[in-house]
Amino acid sequence: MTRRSSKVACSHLSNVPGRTLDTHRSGPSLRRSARTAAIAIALLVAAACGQKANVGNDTSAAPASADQASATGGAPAAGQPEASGATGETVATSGGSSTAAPSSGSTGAGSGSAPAAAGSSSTPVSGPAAAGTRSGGGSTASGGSSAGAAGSSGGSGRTPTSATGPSAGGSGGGTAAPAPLPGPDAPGGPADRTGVTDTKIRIGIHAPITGAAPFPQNAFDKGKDVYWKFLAEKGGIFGRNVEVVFRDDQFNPSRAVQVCREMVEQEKVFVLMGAAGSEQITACARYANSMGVPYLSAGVNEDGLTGLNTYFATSQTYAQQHPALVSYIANKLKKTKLAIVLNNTPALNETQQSVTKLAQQAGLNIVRQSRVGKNASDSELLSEANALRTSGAEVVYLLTSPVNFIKLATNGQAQAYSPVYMGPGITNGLNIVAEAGCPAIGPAKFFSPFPQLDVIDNLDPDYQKSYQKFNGGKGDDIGLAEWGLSKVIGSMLQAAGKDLSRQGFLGALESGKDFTTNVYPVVSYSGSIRFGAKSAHLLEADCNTRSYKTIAQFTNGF
Amino acid sequence: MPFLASRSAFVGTVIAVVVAALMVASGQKQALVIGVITGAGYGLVALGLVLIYKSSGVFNFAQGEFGTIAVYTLYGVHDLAGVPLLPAMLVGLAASAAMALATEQLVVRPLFSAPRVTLLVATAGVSLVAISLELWLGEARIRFIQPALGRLNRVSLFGVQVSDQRLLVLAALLMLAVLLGLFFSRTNLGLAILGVSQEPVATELMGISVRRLSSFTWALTGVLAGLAGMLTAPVVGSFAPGFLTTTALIPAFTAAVLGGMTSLPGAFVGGVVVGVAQSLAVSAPAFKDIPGPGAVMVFVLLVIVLAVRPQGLLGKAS
Repeated sequence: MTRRSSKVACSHLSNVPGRTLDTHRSGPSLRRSARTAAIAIALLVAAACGQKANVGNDTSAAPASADQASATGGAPAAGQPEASGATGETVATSGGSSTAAPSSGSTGAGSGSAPAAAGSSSTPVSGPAAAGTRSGGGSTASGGSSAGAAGSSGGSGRTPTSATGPSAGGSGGGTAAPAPLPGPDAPGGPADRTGVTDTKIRIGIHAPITGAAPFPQNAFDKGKDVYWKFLAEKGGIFGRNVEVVFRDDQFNPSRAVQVCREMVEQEKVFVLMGAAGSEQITACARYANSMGVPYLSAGVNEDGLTGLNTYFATSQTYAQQHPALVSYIANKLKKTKLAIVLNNTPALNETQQSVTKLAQQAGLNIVRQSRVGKNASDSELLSEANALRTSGAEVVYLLTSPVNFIKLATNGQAQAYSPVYMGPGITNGLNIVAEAGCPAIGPAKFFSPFPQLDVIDNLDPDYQKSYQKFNGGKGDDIGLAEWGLSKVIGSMLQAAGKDLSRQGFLGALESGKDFTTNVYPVVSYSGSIRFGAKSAHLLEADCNTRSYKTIAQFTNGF
Repeated sequence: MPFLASRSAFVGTVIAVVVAALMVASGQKQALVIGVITGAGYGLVALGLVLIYKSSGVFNFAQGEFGTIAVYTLYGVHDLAGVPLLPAMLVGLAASAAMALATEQLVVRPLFSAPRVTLLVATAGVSLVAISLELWLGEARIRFIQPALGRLNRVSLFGVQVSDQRLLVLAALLMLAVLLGLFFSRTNLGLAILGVSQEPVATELMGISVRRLSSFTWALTGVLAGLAGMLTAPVVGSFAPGFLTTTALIPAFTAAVLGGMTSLPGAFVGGVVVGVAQSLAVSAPAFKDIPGPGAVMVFVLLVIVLAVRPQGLLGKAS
């Protein structure tokens, strides 16, 4: 504003009736105020966005090359296996359940895996029935499920570089990865026993306790040790008990790398695990790979994880769940109009391509594809709900955080729009989502690595007994998720043998053994297969009870 | 020169009508409706910001937390303790007013002679303390809250259903903007508050208690923030520590600046404009490749207003 216009403004103000008190404010002072406001807002935004700005720097925290890793003191990993058992041995930790493990359906390419009956496995620590009966190759896995072996069961050996998603009909065999990235391997180097003593194994877990879903704050804490206490009573893992270090990654990749770094460098954990959250898992897995630390997570995206030496998915990735998901829509729901809604993150690009391709192959009509912000505003979700309604989508494929899912469904309900929400994933099938989201979410259906509480007593009666014993109450599904994941890790640690090292652990994983828990799906890996789960559970929201129920166990198609 | 002000209002109105017509013509009529109903929430928060700035020249960054405290109180008293809604809302309003009063007594008053930037930072500090308290007492978890008015399909505009709760927010915003506008232009108390903001010493010499007026203004701001929080949280459906600060403070500041920072009706207009711009950015195909288009649009709008018309659409120098 020029001096002249300031004068005009001042004279204008002084002439406003009843406003004679205002004459001391001049144009420049107003401008100063506006400037101050702008600076203040910029500062606030900078502070608020500071965390997000670091997202792109995750890889800087995780040097990709061996040189970088060694420069940061990364421990060598993925050396020669020192697996304790013969290749093809089945390791199961079914906790003494006499229930036969369900079949994983058609076997993965080249894996030849048939899950062992529970109780017939070799783990001496995981339950009375499981003790000491080494199957000796009864459930042989060739360990050779490489890309070249793909195709025998319909595309289960998809090479991630194709970025097109699994072929229709793929039945969930291990997904082959290309040759691992040049990581911090140091074959022949000294055994890395970080986090392992004669009596203890320390493991680290990160999860989005805050930021993604309305999780009760203590639910994770209460559940994280239940399986390990149960196992300790059976003698532990070769006499060692497992100590869990747990960190909240706040549903933020920057924070995830920070907490993983803390757990590796300060807490000296032996192995890292990610419970949920694509971006957080990807960020931490890359960091762990740079440090030579074994990293396991529930299956999420494959982008950004393919080729990491130390990464292993303990359940099906989103893309691996798509064949079953699409077949359910086409054959069970018999719906044709599909909308696809994902969180707006590049980590899900391949996932979107995968479901799009499969849906088109199955003859579904994709009427809308969209992305919503990780912390979408009310306006964004209302607009999205309205756009979904006008698109006429009968089924909405959803891959967002539970918070966004609940808000989207609530906005959809407010627009008299109630499609079937369905998707892969981990957290949207938790009871807390049904509790908060019903009735808006309707009979939402989500795949899950673990079943719901309605069937767990049949699959693994030890869970509720142990939870009751160690926590004094009925176990919830968050505890069940932790129980299942711990059980998978327990069977892997067992397979690595008494002389536990990171190299031995990775070798045991890559040996092609089947790891069976009767909670999580059967999983096996090889040197090139890191996404080795073969099935998943399908859950459906029951708004009468405000909880999820299991409508299909260990399934890979409909 | 009243002509200038009325011309600004006229031009602003014409622009708004033209933009609305263009949106309707280009198939964005639903975005228009969504923008208006979501912008009402921003306007409600902006009202409190304008009130404090108008009366004391302070940019109150704690405004969002006054509202969030009210939401937590409402949740605790109504949802957890089972107290009926209206009494629970009154308790919520009392909590937000008490927090605002405490801020005025403990933070603003001791620093009142300091530069305005110091006060701005001080109110940001109050906001951070409040968020920490919410995290400590209320846990770092998201909570869900049901609307007071549950009917969803009473009004439908261009195919968009406007729930009763959203209508309530819109009506409350409109009513408060008009009432506060009248209060500051027609009542002695309102004029006295303006006087304190301009010339505290002279106003004191006129026999007006500056302290009481300041306390009154901050308490009123707390009530406005409380209303904003308790009316908008059920619309969003959930809240967490820092709820109103993280979801509405930046758009509300933009709305206040857009409206003129000192104009209460301007806060209403600014809120609606920000809401419509955000909604347009989210739904228009042209913006589909921009991550977070709604937030980007808010900042673009803010920069344009500050660069082109820092006094805002309806702004007059206090």
